Amino acid sequence: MNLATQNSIKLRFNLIWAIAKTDYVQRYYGSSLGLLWALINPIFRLLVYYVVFAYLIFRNRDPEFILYLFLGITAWTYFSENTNKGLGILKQKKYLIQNIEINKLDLFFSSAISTSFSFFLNVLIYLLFTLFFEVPYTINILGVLLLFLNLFILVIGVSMILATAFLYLNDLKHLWDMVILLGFWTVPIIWDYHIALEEYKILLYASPITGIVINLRYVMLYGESMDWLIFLYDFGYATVLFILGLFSLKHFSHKAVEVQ
Amino acid sequence: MEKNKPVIKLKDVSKTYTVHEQDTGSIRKKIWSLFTGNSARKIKAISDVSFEVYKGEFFGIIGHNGSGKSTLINLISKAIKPDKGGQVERIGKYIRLSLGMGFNPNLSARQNVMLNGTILGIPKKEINKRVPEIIEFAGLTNFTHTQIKYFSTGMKARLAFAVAVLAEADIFLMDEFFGGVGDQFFKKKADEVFEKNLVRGRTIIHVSHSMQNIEKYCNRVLVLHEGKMVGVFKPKKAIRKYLSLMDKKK
Repeated sequence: MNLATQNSIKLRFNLIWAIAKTDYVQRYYGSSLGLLWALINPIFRLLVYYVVFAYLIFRNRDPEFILYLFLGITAWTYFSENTNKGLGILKQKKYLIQNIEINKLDLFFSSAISTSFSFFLNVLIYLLFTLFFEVPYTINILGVLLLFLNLFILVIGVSMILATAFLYLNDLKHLWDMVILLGFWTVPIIWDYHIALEEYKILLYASPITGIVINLRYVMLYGESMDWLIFLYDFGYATVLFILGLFSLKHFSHKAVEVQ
Repeated sequence: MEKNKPVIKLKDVSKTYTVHEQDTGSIRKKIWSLFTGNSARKIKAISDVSFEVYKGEFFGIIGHNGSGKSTLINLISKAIKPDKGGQVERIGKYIRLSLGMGFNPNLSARQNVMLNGTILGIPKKEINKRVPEIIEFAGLTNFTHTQIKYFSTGMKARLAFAVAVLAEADIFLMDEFFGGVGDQFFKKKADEVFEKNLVRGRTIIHVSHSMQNIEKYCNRVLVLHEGKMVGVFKPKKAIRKYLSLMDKKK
């Protein structure tokens, strides 16, 4: 690789990183607690869900239910936040598309990286929580990196499709809000994942995220190896969506600049 | 300097926009238009434009409002595609210089310089090194850590200009880049820096209504009229053509 190519890769990476960092920092900029909100928010949400579900709805739940819930919510929040943000990206970042030589894909990378800071912060909080429980740590925990990669490809693919479609259909934002609501209840975040594995397999195969949530618990909560068949299915699903996203971005996203 | 090598080449380029009389972005309106017919009409913003720009050239584009200048810039930057049959070739990295691109009102002057500099392709080390100099040039040393939402329009424009002149690219596309940057004192300073930092040997496409700047800087000028190319001329001749077209329009 020659020096010019190296420099151009470095500049491209710097740009992706700068946009991601700014996006993340500006969410908390100006608030008195600043970046601490990034910690407080997920912990508070988790406690609310835990109190409601463990004490009011499903009484006498296993105390480890809080960890079960945390992993499901972490993966789901990453997906929903990213796709909601990604949906408007071509409109919001029009000034970049119009003014500099930027690969539109890089905008989606930046957006996903900025949300990834929260994801890893949540994983860190989870690991601290596990100190109070008897969670077996095994080598399988490294599977979280593969599962994250799967999620990363998935959110970028879905975001690219949504962002392109949003240029043509203003109602998409509201439709997607409904899909996210439906998804929250059809993915085993709160309910027992065995239902998706044994009774309603459609929930496992229809959604590209159900398997990720299940595998995340295998490796991070039970110390087991992930189900590789499910992983390969979800990874393939995410890859197909990513390719479809690239196709839609290449052929239909020019409208981002044409529409004022 | 290789003067004869074209770095931008447009051949038979046209651009047609589809304009809807009413907003058709909602589901209800999309379904409704199936029954009532589509009220879309075509508008040709650019028609059969062909020209070349050579390496190191300062190339102007002039024309009245709505003549297609911004569409042409968008075509050169490849942000939009030409109609079928048209060809746009560009060799080298470009930046469209636009004041305050990506400025975030909630970030401080320093943070905005860092962000804007990265967007403009300036290496991180270089920006870090030059932040104090940039802020001083803009006359904002006492406001380095102030959020720019508290800045006046002039202060923001000065800061934006101070970063933009350091941009790194082979081709610069400038759409009214000089408009409204600071007072007379700053304008004089800005002109000097513009000539010293940006112009030197770079290929520049300059869209402007300021005939003074067109005459001062451009080697050749393209005159556009209602989306059609009148021709490419030397600056003085181009300005005469433009003014006579403006007179006819009146």
